[in-house]
Amino acid sequence: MFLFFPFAFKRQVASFVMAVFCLFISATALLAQPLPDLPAITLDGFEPEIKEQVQKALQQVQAKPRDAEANGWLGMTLHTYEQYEWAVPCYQRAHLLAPTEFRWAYYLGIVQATLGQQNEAASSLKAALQQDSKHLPAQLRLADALLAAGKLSESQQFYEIVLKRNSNVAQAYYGLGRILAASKPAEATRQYRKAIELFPDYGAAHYALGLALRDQGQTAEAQEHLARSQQLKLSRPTLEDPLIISLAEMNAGASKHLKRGAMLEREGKLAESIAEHEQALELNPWYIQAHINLISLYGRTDQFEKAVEHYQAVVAINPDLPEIYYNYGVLLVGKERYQEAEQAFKRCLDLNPYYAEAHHNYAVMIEQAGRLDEAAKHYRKAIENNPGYRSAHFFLGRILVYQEKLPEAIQQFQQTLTPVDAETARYAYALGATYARAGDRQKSIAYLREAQKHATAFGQKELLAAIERDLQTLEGK
Amino acid sequence: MGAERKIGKESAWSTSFSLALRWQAKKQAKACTPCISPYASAQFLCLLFFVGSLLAGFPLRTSGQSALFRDVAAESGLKSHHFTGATGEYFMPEIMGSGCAVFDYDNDGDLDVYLVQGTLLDEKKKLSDARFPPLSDWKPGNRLFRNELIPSGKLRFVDMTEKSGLGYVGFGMGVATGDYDNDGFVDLYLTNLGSNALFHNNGNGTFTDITQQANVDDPRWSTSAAFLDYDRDGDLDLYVCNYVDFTVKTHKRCYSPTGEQDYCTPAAYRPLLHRLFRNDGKGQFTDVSVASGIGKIPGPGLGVTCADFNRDGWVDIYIANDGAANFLWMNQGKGVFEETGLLSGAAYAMDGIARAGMGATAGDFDNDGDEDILVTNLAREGSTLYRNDGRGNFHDATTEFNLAQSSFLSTGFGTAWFDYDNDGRLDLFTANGAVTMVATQKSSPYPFQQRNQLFHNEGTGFRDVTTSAGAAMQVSGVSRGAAFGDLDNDGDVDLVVSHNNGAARLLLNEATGKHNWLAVKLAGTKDNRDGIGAIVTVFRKGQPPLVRRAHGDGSYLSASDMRVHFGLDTATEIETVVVQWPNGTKESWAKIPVNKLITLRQETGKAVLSTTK
Repeated sequence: MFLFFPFAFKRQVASFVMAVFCLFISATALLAQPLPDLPAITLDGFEPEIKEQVQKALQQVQAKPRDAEANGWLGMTLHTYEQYEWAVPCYQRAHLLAPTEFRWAYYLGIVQATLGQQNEAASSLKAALQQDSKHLPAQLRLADALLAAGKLSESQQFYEIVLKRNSNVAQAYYGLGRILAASKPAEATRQYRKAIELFPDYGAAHYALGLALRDQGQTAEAQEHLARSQQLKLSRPTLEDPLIISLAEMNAGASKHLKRGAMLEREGKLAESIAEHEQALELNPWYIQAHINLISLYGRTDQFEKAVEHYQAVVAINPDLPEIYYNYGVLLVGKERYQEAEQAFKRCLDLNPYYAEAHHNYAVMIEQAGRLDEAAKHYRKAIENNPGYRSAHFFLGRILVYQEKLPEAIQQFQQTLTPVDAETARYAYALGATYARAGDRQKSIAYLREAQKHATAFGQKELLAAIERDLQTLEGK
Repeated sequence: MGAERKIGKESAWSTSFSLALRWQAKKQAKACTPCISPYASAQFLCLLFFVGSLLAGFPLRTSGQSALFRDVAAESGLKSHHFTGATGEYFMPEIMGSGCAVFDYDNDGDLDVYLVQGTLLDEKKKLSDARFPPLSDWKPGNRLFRNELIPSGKLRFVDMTEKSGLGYVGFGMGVATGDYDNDGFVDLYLTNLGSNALFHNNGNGTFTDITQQANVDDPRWSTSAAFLDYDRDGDLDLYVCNYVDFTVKTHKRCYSPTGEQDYCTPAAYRPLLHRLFRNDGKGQFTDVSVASGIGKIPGPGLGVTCADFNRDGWVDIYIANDGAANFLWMNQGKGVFEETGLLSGAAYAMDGIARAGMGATAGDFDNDGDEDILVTNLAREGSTLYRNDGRGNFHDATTEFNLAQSSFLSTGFGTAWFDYDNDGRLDLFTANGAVTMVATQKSSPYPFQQRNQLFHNEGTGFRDVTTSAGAAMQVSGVSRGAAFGDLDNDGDVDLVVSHNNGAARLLLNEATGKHNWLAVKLAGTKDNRDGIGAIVTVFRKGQPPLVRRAHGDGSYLSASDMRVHFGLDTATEIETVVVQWPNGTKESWAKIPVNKLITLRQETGKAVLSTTK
């Protein structure tokens, strides 16, 4: 029968047979393909929840060693807890067992990049992109890996591909800027500016732009951007990446909660931050930093009793940590329990005599009690340990004014004039007033005018009125 | 004055949210590991790499070939095992020390060795509580070893600790060397967790602790220190890095991402202010930290290297801070420094983020006449190479010079630019060892081991030649300090590497001597005795000049030989050697022979018109 079929049909059948054969061969090859060994994972010392989680993932692989999902899951579990060297072979196994699965090659690429294996990372990410050529985070990571590997032209190609797909990816402009920095500095500057335009809080882009402008002789603007990079530091844009989110969600460790709590605190979300800290303590009741932070967080949210609970808990774990007493002292000040606060700061200083803030706060307490000489000594200690401590300079200056040591007071006040912020008007006012008391009318007026300027700039109406009254008196108006 | 009595914003809550942990990676697998991987493409790439290596003349060494470096510590009598004092609490200082020095304390013409030692940190503990008890013949305190090369002709060390009085017992961190009183004998400054110590070299093989008289103590946790003449008055001043405010009492527990107790990062504590002591020339120092500006900004300092980065004739100070912006203290003259790290580009890596700076070294690796900086950092950060544009502006050139990937998985500490093969280009060594547990080593008793690295300067980039540098370079350990100098006086630079919880190694340079060299010992008469800070330029016929600096600082917790070493490549003739002394004067000497150690005495050369301010 076969012989009587038309030629075209025979060719189709032959192709089909060939395809089946190839599939069979591929499947056989896949099954026969040696996989990297599973890592020898040592679980001793792991937090119990984490240990259980890893153990479970490991057991799944041991039960089904050629199951891509099980291998990949183990890789993800290890990846979550930053056990990157162990995650690599797991992802490699998963990728070999399911080469058409995007996730495993992608995760593998991410881990390899984290381990500095940029060429390997680029290969893995390319493999991932073969499965999903439009995955923007993978394209961006590939461009980054190539840049880190020094493959500038290839990296540039991928950044440009990213931008063709989405012209609002600030990271791609930043990457292009870095590629062009040496050969085309003006063009690099343009790319950095574009990145900042899209994401104004991009710390790394401000830093790169600052240095680029420095090299072009634009020092003032360079300094502005460098200063901005200092404020922003780690702030950077992120691309939505559900695969990364799912990794983060797997983390059952106490440190994750502390980290999130810290982030929330920085965002001013104190209640949420407290909840994260409490979860950290549920997992690890001896987590000292969580207790210490909670003294502060509860204090700031007027939950005095809760704060005291954590103070007592941490003292029971380690009574020798100065931060405990420092935070407790601040808490007591908030409750106007000054004598106890004084004792807390003193205890802090007994444990750490270089603690500038504790010296300062202790000085504030004893100054209130009228022990001016002793307070001055501690303000000086605060300054010794932190020479830029403005309020210590200010309070010390104030004591010196009371003691009629005006030239020395002036010296202290002069240390308070920078940086220019909402406090500067008050400090300049104090300096001007001290000059007046010392009989130097000209300088007094000059500093009061400076104070007036700052108070105006910061909208400090009451302060401004007081300054202007004194200015009128001095100027004889 | 209208100010309320209150605790200001600056003094409100102390809330350290830093996780205070450093994640550690194991060392990268050998370069050819992908050869056995199941990836066909990887096999192909590996094959290409191999063929490419052969074509490029990659020096693949076989067992029959001689090693570049050989560890001769044990056979030469340099026997000392570092004691961390660890008793299971994970006190942070346990993992940080200690350093070493090579210096000629007895002026007999060969380099002696000093090794800094740890001790128990918790006074309540006994030696029997130690997790790694010291060996049976262990003696507490630092050790001094005299080199018997001269006159015996054989590299051999004799322990002179007791006789010299240098067996200081404390929780030792680092050592700096310098002849602070210009009496011709090198003195020692020791940094500790706790009080530091200045030992005066009496010139008769003994030392005297003169810390109190000299007013150079600091009771906090000091790390690296450096002697320098910052005010150009002819005597050596002293810079002391301080780290963080850890004490045994204030010790914190820190955890790894998997919840195990581990060593803390510096973020768990508060950074300290550093110290600058001005030498008054009469055996006493004045603390000028505040007046000079140095004492205005705290930083978790670990490494210090002093050089004239902007070539204005005044020595500047670079500090590697751990987890914070590095400092570049630019000397403004008149005893004042300005911190310019940020604008200079040497505070951060390329992305504007602080790294965990450990060791630092300055040198002209690209032979363009200015001082470039290399800072060793934590694993998964890699070292940072800051290339100087000649004006004191730096660019992160780590990737450009092939150091990013090769250093990425190492936690580096001691380091130096040094020309191990005398080809005229400064190569690089990094002493590596983790500070937090390496997960893949957790079943081993001390899971912090890493391999040191040697990088060859190829002109356009660095090539990691560790694997071909001999068996001594393949041994993993927890390396910390590294001190450099020609210990066997054969014309190439050797090194001593100190190890945390391990024995010191003496890596003798066995590179074949096909290149010529010159070693210059400076003898200051108007300036400090060893010419520390002087810039020595060698002019070779038909080749670019080589610019090097006399110094003992840099690296990590360690002090290197102050003699200036030049690899001359194939040059057989030196036209002139020009010395720019720290006071700004310049002199030249002509017709200098190669393959010699020469001494250049100040005011015996031909004066050169100086353009220095």
